[in-house]
Amino acid sequence: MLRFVLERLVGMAITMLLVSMMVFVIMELPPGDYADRYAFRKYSGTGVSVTEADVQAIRVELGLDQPMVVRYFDWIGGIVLHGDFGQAFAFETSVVNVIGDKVWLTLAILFTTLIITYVISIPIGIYAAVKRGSAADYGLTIFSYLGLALPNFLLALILLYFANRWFEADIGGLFSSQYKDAPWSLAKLWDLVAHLWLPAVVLAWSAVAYQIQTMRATMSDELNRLSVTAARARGVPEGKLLWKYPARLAINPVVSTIGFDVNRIFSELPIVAAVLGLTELGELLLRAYLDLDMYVAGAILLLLTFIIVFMNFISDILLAWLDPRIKLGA
Amino acid sequence: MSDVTPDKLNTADERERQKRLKYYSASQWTLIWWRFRRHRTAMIASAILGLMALMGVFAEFVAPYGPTTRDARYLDGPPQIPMFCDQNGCSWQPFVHGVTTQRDPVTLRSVSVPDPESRIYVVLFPAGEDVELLGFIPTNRHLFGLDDPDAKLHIWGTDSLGRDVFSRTVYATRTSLSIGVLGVLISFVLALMIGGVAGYAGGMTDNVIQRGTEVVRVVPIIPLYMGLSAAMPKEWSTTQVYFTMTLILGLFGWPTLARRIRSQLLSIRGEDYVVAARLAGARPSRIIGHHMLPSFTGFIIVDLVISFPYMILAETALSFVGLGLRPPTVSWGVLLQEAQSVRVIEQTPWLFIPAAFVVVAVLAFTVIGDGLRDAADPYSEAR
Amino acid sequence: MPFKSVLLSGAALAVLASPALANCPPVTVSDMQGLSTDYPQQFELAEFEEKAACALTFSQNPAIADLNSRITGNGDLGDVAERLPAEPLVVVPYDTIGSYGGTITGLSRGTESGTSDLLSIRHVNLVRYSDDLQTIVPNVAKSWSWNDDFTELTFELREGHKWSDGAPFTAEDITFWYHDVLMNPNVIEKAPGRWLFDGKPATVEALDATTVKFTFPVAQPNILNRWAIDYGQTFLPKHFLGKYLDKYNADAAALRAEHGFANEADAVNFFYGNSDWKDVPSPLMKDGEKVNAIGVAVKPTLESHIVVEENTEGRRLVANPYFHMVDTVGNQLPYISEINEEYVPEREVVNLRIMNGDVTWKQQAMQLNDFPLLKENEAKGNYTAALAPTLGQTPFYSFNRTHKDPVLREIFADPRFSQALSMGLNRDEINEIVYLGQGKPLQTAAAEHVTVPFLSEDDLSVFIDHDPAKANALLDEMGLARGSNGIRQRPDGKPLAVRIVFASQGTASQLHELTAGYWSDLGLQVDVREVTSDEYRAAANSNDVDLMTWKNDGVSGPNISQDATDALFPGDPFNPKGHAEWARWIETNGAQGIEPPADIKRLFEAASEFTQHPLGSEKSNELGAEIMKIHLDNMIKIGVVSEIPEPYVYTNALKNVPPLTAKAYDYYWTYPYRPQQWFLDQ
Repeated sequence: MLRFVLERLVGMAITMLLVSMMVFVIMELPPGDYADRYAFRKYSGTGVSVTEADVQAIRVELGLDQPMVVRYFDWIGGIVLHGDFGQAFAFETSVVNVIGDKVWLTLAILFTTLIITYVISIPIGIYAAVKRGSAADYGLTIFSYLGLALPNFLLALILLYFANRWFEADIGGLFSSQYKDAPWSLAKLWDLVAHLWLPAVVLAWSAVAYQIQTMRATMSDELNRLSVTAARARGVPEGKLLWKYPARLAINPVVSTIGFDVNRIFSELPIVAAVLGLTELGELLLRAYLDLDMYVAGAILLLLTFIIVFMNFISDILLAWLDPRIKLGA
Repeated sequence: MSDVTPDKLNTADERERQKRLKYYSASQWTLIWWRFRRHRTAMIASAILGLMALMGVFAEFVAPYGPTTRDARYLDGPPQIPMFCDQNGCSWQPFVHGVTTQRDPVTLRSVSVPDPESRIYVVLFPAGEDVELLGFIPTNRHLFGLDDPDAKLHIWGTDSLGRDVFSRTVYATRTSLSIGVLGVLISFVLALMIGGVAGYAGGMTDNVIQRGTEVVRVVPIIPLYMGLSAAMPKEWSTTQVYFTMTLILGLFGWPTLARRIRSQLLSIRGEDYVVAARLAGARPSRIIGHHMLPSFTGFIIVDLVISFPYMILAETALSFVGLGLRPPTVSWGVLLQEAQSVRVIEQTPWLFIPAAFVVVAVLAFTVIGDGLRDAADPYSEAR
Repeated sequence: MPFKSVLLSGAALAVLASPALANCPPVTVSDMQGLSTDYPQQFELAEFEEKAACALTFSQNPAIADLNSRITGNGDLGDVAERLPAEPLVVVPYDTIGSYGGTITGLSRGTESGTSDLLSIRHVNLVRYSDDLQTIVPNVAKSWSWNDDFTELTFELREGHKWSDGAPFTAEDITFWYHDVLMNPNVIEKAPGRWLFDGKPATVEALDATTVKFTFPVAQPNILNRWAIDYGQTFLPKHFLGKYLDKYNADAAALRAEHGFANEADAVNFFYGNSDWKDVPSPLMKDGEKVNAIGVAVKPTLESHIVVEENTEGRRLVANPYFHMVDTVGNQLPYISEINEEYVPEREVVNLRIMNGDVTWKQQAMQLNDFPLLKENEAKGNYTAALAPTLGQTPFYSFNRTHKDPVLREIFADPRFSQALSMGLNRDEINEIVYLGQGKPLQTAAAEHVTVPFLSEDDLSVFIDHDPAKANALLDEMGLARGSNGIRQRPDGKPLAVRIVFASQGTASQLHELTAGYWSDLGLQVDVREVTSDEYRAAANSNDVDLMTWKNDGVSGPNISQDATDALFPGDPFNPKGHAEWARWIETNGAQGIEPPADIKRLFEAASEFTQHPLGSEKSNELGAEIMKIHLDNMIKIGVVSEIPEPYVYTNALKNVPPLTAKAYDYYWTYPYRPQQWFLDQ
């Protein structure tokens, strides 16, 4: 087991290294750099006319004149050695400052979404498999198709509107103003939950649909197994029977797709968050792209990917623990 | 199968025998088609998708007006439903009432007021704007419209510039579907090359490629697309943007398919007929293309069909946040981006009609994909 | 107890000495109780007490001690009468004497985006425009005087005025701002051109603690306008920032080292930024740990509220306990205890928040086409949505006559081209569709015509009729013949293609879609690209656009009368007017850049001369008219629709809000309407 974990850790490190290279290339892609806009911002309203020399000076000051490879090692070195993700130009502060506690809020959204996804999809998937071919099964299948097809930014906008108009739900943020800067308390936690449900439901929407299908399919396969038939023949009560064999095994594919789910949630997060006015990493990423504030964008992309890779790792370990055969196949 | 003559089908036994014979002698593709045909929902989905594609191809004819043609008399106008009867009686030919747009003096909202006394009849193939069908057939006939050339029919209403939502949706269908097709094609070619090399070579090459694939797979895809679109130079024209978008979508759509191709190739690499071909001195590209790929084309097609919705949704999402296509290009994403406001939900909800197209197209592709998967799976016959 | 008895007798004496003086009457703008003011809607203390025959006693916000405790670095508070200047400004509330408390919740787009609205609520400056937008009235300065040739301007400050940390505010703080910060190359690398006059610095002297004199190298008769409408404040806390400068503190180097500043510039930058822009991130945002080490969060202010918390999601401010204004019964202003500024970049969320009644006040970035929605939901959200006239919302198109492509440069330089394109626009339709029929089709020049005497509506009514036939004829006359595909050809045979690059913060996308259609009808190949405002500015500033398109802000009379930048080229980098190559030619005396036509050369001269004559004087009108004529003759800007109203909203609980005379950045948003006397009826 230890060897398996170590192997996975090394794999994770290599993947992250490659990802960091790719992310850096993306950061480098936009034509021009931040120096131009920084210069005009700096001298705007002062009556100073900006010359190319000023722009060049800023470029040097920000280290944008170095060759790409040098900047990559500067960048990655800063991250690994000092946890320094560089400068957030638009905010005139460090990226770490800008990202700061948004990481926790992003994780809060992520885990709420995952919990909602599994709490809804596992029982429903099992139910659909047991009642295969029934009206309920068809209904659920249609629902899950819809979940896959409805663009969730649209869902976000519509839910936002109705939550706001009908339930007077708080919108545009993760906290009400009175809790925003308050220390953590039970009331603040509740306030967070009250704000979290909307983004979580939107993000869980398609994940639920997908997981219901997976669960239903695996469960159906498991139910057809001889062991189940044998147990049924032995007179094991239906509920116990379900849990004892098939359901436990059917959880495996769910566990193995945690990384996939996280990936999808993060993929959809920026747009959903932008629509809902949530200031977390995804929305910040979108804004950074629009502003071409590429250090912020790079840091967030790297962070989100790291979380995904880490969740993949966890899911591998969990699987190996649930089903030792997997280790051998690895 | 075409040599079956009717006179032999006189007994039930004979019919059954013929059927079996037909089955055993049918080609792989025929079998898949037979199985697919039995999948009713998938057939319906195919029909719908076919209609959409036709709509896109013949957009100039189907759409009564151009995507940017404005009707200054009908701003933010609700859908006009052609009717057969009104307070003045009925008519065999559908008609709509003439409308005028007024402005509410307090809220300044534009409100369209129908005139129940005026009737304008709906006709098929009226003369209208000059267009070039398929880009080279000049015509001024359109599928439907009003008999009064000065009035316009807006069956799905208009936006705030008075542009016809139906016409725009039709043109958007062309853009969005074609982006999907091009994106899928690009990713297919990439997947073929990458998966082919990995699967055929195996070993170290395979390992390296697997790492690369892993990297593309773990990075969340929409943020990745967003990064690439953000990098597009702002001075590019809408056409350049369009093609770059397809390229971007295609560029990262390949990992799933590449993995499929690789694993299939790996599994049949040692089969006798492959070894034989290799010993006979065939070049790798020929071995892969001619000998190995045909054995699992079905799966490839299923995967291609399934990856369509992702392309379409990605395009929609990117355009929606302003990182994809931009007006005056019309795509589903662009139309939805224009509808993305509380004002629209409350006052002009018909601008969301294009969303139905997205949902239907994605659903259709998914259902067809499922149908094809069942059909391509030889064991599905066992039930 | 001799000490106590002295106090007692003193109190008794005060009561005895003024038996005739009653409590002051609650004078309001709607009920002036027969009193008249020297300046509209406000009194000096002595003036008020004399006219109302009363003695003002001061009271304060009951929560002021709590609010003060949130200002990092502030000590305990003294009595309100000691905190106020000896000569506080007595402000006449619009409708009623207010009550204390509450929070103004406002929405900005981000740290540096869309923040001016809320900045203006707490803003102070030496002087201010009254809500008639005609009269300049005292604010931080008590009075001012000119010498005869408008080269010396002397301000009288308020005795005993204090910074938000309780330290005295004196004339030295103004000389410090000018000579030790702006004009000090150790601190600000390049002296800001707007505070140089004819390229030379002014002299700012503190004659005594409350008297400061500006001496200008050339006449500046309109410069007072700058204090009245400008975002920039011309004072900095010398007691606070001076300690980082070697000139004022022998141990400055050690202090800088202790607080982690590399040099003087670094230290000043941390608290002030590098210009008078106020929407820069505060130290709290830049480096919270440093703030803790230094023990002061933001530099002391004279404004009505001071920042106490800031992060990437918003700012919180509390009332300044040393603010210099009182109402007519002696309540220290501001009434409202806190400002809560949230960053909401998403326009739809802004609308929903407003419709929910969550927003106390918003005017900036409110667009006319949201008005129907906001108006319809007024009652549900318990707020008021109103329309105000605007200044500087006129959208324009200005073709780049210094284009990098010499062929386009020549075409664009021909006024006939712009005239033709102007006649190609269907302004009535644009007005109806984009501006809900509320604007007026007009051209625009280098000034807002309603704010200056030398530009009439008639002047602006040329080439505004939609006349495609004439437009086509003009283009044909220029030799831009149509090719077989109907697209006009440039002299070099290429199709005449024009790309409209715009940002929706400046101009509506609907406008450009319409324009693209009209111009395509004239045979141009038009492409529209929306970019972010930063990208638009970068492109326009680096001469990378075919045409500039933005709203015509920054050209009200008070603004251009003292700073011709916005009437000239290349304008401010924030609102580029393009043609930087012309300016470069003039700056380098023809060594670099592109030579402008003769009348444009004259424009540069006329514009700098224009600022040296009092606005409204004969000479000023003459020069103004000449400048406008050059602009219009060349058709530098194609104006589209003018006098567009825009919405503003406020919660119904917010009181003492007058109908806005104009919603304009050029008069600094709410500054003329005295937000300090707003209050929340709870």
